[in-house]
Amino acid sequence: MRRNKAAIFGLAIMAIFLGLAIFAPVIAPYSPDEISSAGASPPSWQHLFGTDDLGRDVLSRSLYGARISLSVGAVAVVIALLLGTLAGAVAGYYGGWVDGSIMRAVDVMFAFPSIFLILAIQAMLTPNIYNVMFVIGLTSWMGVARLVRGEFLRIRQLQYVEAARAIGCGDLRIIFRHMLPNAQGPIIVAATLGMAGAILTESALSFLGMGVQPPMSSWGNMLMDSQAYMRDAPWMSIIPGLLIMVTVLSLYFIGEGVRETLSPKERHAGS
Amino acid sequence: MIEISNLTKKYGELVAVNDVSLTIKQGETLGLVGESGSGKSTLARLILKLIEPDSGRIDYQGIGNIRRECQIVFQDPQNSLNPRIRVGEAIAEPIVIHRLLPKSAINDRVAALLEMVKLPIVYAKRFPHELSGGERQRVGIARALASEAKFLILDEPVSALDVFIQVEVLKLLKELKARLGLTYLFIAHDLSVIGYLSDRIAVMKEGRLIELGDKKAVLISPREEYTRKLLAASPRF
Amino acid sequence: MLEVRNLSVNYYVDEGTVNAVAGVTFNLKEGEILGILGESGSGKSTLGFALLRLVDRPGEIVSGEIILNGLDILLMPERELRRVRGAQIAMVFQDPFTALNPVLTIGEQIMEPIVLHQGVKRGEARAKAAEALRAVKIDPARIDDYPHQFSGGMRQRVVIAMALACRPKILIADEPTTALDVTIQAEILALLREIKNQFNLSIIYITHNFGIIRQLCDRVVVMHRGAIVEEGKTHLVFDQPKEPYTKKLVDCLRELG
Repeated sequence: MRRNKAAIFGLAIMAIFLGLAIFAPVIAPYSPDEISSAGASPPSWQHLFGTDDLGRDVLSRSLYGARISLSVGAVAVVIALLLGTLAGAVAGYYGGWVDGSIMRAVDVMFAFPSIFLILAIQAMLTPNIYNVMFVIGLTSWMGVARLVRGEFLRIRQLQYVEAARAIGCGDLRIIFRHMLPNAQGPIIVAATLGMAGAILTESALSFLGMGVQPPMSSWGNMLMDSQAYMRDAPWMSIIPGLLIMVTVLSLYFIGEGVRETLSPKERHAGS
Repeated sequence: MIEISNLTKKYGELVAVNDVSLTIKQGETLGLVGESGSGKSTLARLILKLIEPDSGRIDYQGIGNIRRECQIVFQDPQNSLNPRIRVGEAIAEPIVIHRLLPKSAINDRVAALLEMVKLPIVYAKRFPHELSGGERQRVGIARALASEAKFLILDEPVSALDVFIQVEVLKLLKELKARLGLTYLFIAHDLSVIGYLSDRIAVMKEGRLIELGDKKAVLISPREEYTRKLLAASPRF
Repeated sequence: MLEVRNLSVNYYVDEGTVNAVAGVTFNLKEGEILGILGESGSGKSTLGFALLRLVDRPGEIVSGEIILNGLDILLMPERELRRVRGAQIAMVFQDPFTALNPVLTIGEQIMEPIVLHQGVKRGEARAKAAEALRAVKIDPARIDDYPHQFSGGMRQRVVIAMALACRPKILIADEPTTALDVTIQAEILALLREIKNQFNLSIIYITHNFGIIRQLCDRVVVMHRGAIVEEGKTHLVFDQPKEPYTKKLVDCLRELG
């Protein structure tokens, strides 16, 4: 990690954002729903990021929005990781028809344009924040499954797995104690990239009005609200847009950093 | 101790082990020599019940729990130890799995096993990559002994090691055998170090057992042409 | 033939500087097979690479001379060095499975150094490649086959054919049989002996395997921790070792049988 400045930068940004989200009630100068000016006003000393069309403080809404956006991303990615790791581990460990059927299911899920699937499900359910988390999680585990399966296929060939079997370890012990910890690197990478993806999906959903519902603010529905005022009140779209971009980039930097530290090191001083 | 009769294992078209019959006697070291594709590793895995034969049978005499009492020491200690598990935990694992001792007694047993293979007790806290090749192989041996095994398969246990270390590890294996009354199946790809431990030597080629005899007989006057070729090619001092 | 004087190679790693090769002096005589014997970490492979100035970061050749035909390889400009590599000194590596490019036919791979060094037409290079295959006892009709169509031992023959293609004077072989079965190894060693006579080669054979050294080499250099501890005629070194390290090694080997 020593050499990886971008990853450190990403980590720092994420730490700051997380802190701001957690302490939003303390930091935010206004309540997120409080109407503190008449209509949209540009950034000023009273409203550092300006106010929106209804006169609500954009800074305060962004801080509260961070809570929603980040937690949607985190919960969705945890769901995707659990599902994907389980499916990938079982497929990669047992192989054969088990592997075949799981991977076909993955292919089918991949073949569905997931945004339509999400929209369809959301249309059937009440579009609240919990459903958003679950729906994003349930439609984004396939990449993780493929990755974990690949890792398991590789690790299964390693001798310490056979050694574990030879001393009498059962399947579950081999999977969870011997194989999963050795696959954690790629899973961490997938988690950071997956979180970035989940945040983007949440934004897209909210932008389409199928995600987090007003008056609750998320970066995505702030963007949606700003559509009509892009020309008259550009700060309304620029602020949440920037926040999404910086967050997603930071997560990518972290993911790339982890990937790089995990890649095989240069071999040195041979015999 | 182990009686193998007409054992056959196929992988598709390939007959990895072809109608092999063989007895491993209690207390002996049987050397098993074969080049790649000879079926020696498949035979070892069949004996350990890691894979099932297509036909034939293996009878175990004086062995109750095969998983516990038959163990294997692998060729490359670098790959056979999980890099994320500390040495002490790796050695303790068979004890935990087979519920051989109460939790409170495990640390003492691990210490005793480390001492048995002549490693300092502090090594229990280390990770495999902090050890040298020879030390890792000692850990592999301690782990195989942890479940109170009676029969060990030694799968080229020294071929990845330097000469000095080879001698040390082979000496240790000899000593442990005498001390614990073990039976060994020693697998090798050539005839160079097999004489050191073996009482009898078996030669496999393309899945078949082609020669079996007393160590001296096989090393000095082999019956089979292939064994002679192998003997001539094996780097012996 | 080849004279190495006071050669040192350092590796700069996180933990500090490693003296992989520490002031090594020896020479290779015309027509001999010289064995370089060492355990893992003795510096023998690094020495092999250093002879062709193939040491990469984090390693560096820090001092010494490698004299070939009166010229110091370490002082040569890059252009001249490239004319030495492959053309005058060729190298055969340990692993025949990764030494060949899987998407090129063996013919194309053997022709490459010929075209590169001798600037001959493709037809002529192909004829030379076929000849090189014949020398390593592979049917020249297989010139358009791909590496995966050959077994490990046959692939190592192809690698040797590549090395021979430009008729080098010196062949450096770094554990070329370690990945092979012993009976195949015996065949490759017999082949090396044969091509040595046929092509008037001098060979440096690097290995940890004393059995091979004893069978194959006229003289042996024993390395330990980057330095040469003993050097001499193979049977003398093995039967009457002078240095404590060699003595201990020989004792161990006797014990192993």
